[in-house]
Amino acid sequence: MREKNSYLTVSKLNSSIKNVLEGDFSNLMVKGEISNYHLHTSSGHMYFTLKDFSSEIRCVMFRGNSSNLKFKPGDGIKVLLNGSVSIFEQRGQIQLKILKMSPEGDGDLFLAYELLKKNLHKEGLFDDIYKSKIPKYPKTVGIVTSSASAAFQDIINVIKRRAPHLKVIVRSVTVQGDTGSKNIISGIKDFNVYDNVDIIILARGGGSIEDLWCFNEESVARAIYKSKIPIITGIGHETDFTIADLVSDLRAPTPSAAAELASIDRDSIISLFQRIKHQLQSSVLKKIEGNLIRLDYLENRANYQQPGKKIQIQLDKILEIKKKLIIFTKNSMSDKKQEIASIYKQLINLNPENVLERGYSIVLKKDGKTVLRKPKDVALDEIFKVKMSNGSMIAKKAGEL
Amino acid sequence: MKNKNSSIEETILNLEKIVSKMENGEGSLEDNIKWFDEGIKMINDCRHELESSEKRVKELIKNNEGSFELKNIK
Repeated sequence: MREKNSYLTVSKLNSSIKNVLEGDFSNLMVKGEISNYHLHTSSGHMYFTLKDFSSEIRCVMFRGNSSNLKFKPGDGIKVLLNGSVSIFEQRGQIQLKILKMSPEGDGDLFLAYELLKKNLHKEGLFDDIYKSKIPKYPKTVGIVTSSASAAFQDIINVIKRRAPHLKVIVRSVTVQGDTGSKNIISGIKDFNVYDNVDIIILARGGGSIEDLWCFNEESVARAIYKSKIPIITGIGHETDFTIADLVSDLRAPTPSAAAELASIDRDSIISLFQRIKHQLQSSVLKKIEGNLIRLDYLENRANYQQPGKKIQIQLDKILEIKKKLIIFTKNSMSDKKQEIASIYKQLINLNPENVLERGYSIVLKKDGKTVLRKPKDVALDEIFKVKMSNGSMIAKKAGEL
Repeated sequence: MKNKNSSIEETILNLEKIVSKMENGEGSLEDNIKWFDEGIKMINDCRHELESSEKRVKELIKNNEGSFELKNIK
């Protein structure tokens, strides 16, 4: 059959295979479970893998056939289908071209998921009262995922962009396959023992239902439930709802979204500080204004007893505040600057006598040296001194109001 | 958690306390100036920390004896 030096081109080979197979494997009934389901949105064609316990085959169902489906296919669903083997010649790939398809009861994984969900829900693991509050201003974020994954890179990118001040610690584990659940559980436990992160992000990029399956295992759900550190899950895509998502303290639709929920934007903290700064500034200004009269008293008293010295101390203080305020308000608050300058001027121009002339009095101890600020400063029946604009007098405390 | 509040959270809580004290007119002018200075210092320290540090990503490694160490990763 094969002569020396004779050969086939790849195209010829594939086309021969096609001719042999497509005739013999047509109009078949095949049973299996859908996996890696993908609906091509623009063409409307469906692509997925049909599998059983040991084998799988690629399948395609074109829109013309799939539009008549009586159910919504998806990962984990067991189906009975009718179709023919075809060879995708360009790639040399065997695939099943499906004409008809019907569900063969729900897939086992799906049933297991529903059952576990029901039981854990009944037990209260998803209840809001068990959800920990996510700290608003975390310092350190722990991540449980594979450090080689795109999901991890996405998280790091978001955090570096939004909150470069955050410390990030990853416990790198494989989050799929046979050891997936064991790894996730030990990652969560390790962070709880290590006890130096404020939030744990449990994440994995998109994948088939099998890839994400470890997030649907009871042991993982219980480890999340037990964690003392709040956990944010970001598993798969928006449409993937795993048991881990339901039991976690906060569910994010994707790993990147989880990173956003775990990190407050640095700019927003800075603008909060800016607001507080303004509040502090205006409070001090208000206090300065409110204290003008009291300063007046002090100044008056100082003048009266130790001319010059104490006033200077007070004025120096005000000058110091003014300088500080002007530095802080340099750019954004030019009107405030004016205000401060005018207050300062008022202070400088204060005439000690003016205050008393306005009808105020200064109440002093009998010795005339200490200003009395509150009723408790003088005892009942004690004698004290009152200084007025046109002289002083001695008074006696008869009671408090 | 070893430190329940992060430094930012603590700073914000303390600042809010100061602001409310001052807005309620508590304390003398001198107290207010002192609080103001404290507040501005807290803000500046925290901003400095926020802006100056580009934190590196570390990996948590568990040793055989069960102790932990942090390793730099790229």
